[in-house]
Amino acid sequence: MDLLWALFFLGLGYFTGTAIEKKHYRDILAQEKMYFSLPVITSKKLEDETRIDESQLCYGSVVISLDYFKRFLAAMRNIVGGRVKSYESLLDRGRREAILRMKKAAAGLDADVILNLRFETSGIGQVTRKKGSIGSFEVLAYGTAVKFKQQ
Amino acid sequence: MVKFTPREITKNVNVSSTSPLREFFVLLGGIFGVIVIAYMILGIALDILVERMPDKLEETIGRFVSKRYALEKEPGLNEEKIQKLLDDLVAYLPEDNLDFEVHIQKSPEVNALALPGGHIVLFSGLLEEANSENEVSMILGHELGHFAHSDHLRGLGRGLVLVVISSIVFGVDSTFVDVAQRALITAELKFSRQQEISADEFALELLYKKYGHAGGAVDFFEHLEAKQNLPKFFKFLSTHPNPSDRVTLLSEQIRQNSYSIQDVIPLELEAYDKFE
Repeated sequence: MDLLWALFFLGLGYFTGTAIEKKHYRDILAQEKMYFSLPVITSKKLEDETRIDESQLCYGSVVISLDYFKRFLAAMRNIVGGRVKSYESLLDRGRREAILRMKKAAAGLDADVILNLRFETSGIGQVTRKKGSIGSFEVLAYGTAVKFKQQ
Repeated sequence: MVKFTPREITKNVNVSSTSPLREFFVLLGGIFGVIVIAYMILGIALDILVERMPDKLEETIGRFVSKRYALEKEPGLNEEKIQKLLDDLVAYLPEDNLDFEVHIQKSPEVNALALPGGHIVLFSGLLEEANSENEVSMILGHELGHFAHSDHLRGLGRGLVLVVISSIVFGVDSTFVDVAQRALITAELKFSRQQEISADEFALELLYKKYGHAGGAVDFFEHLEAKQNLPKFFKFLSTHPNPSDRVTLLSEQIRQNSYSIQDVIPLELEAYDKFE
């Protein structure tokens, strides 16, 4: 009987997870186009800092949850080893969404460039350890939003 | 400033392109395939080892089993009489043997179990269904047949192997181990059809040795055929072959050996309290 429930949740997780992921990617791609003109780089400094008018911290964070199917795939990978492909797309979406939200925050400040981009990823609750708990993770992207002087 | 050229991310290098469904079936199939093969290999190895198991080891397992099934020290109702029947039969077995003990479990169910260490558990429901000494001797002989062929150890061994493998692979608390433990319990109670048939043959020969005739051999199973739908027979019927098949095979064996059928000895037992 437990087996039937497990199969049901696996199926549910697969279908809803896939649908949600597709939609999320569509949204991400559309928004990335919108924010094309706002550059984000990992350098800490600019060569010519006299151009800088204002600078401020900006950050974007997103919390994404695993689905049952992805977790099951990862559990099997934990036995045999190899790349946990089911988590790759989750983390990719998380990173890109976090960057987008950071850009939104910076655009709100009229920034021209975001410097010193850094990421933090952490599991919320017990992500993969405890049996039965699904768990989620947060991606935080932060940097320095810089506004140039009007010229 | 460094020249910045914004570009769309068209090919995503960070996400592998394999279909998750395909990965699911490949991994699942692979893992179960390995477990099944390991189980089969260990099963074969176990069959070979079980033949060579020393009696002392089985007695130790037997003591553990007594504790687990809470088999009492004090003889229960009618236990002494049934133990005498058992001892009579055991007298016809080869010398180097386990000490066979019968335990009567008070229960409306009709069933008999052969547990490691020479413990035979009869449920009181079964005694109430039996009408003659010969029938009870037939059932005891059947269980003795299982012991003679080491059937109980094989079943236990295989189930145990599965539980151990699952615990190592999935961790002690996982659902797989639960499922495997349930399989172990059913394995303890159920023998293969061939093992059951061999046990019946053994029992018939033993019955003939004690009584000098084959009367009462098929009686119990004939009663069973008529009453199959009652719930108290459910466990017995689900763990043993079809009663009519057993009757057919036993009758054939009686005919081939030209055993005579004579009057059976009625069973005189104290009645058990009725269950609500």
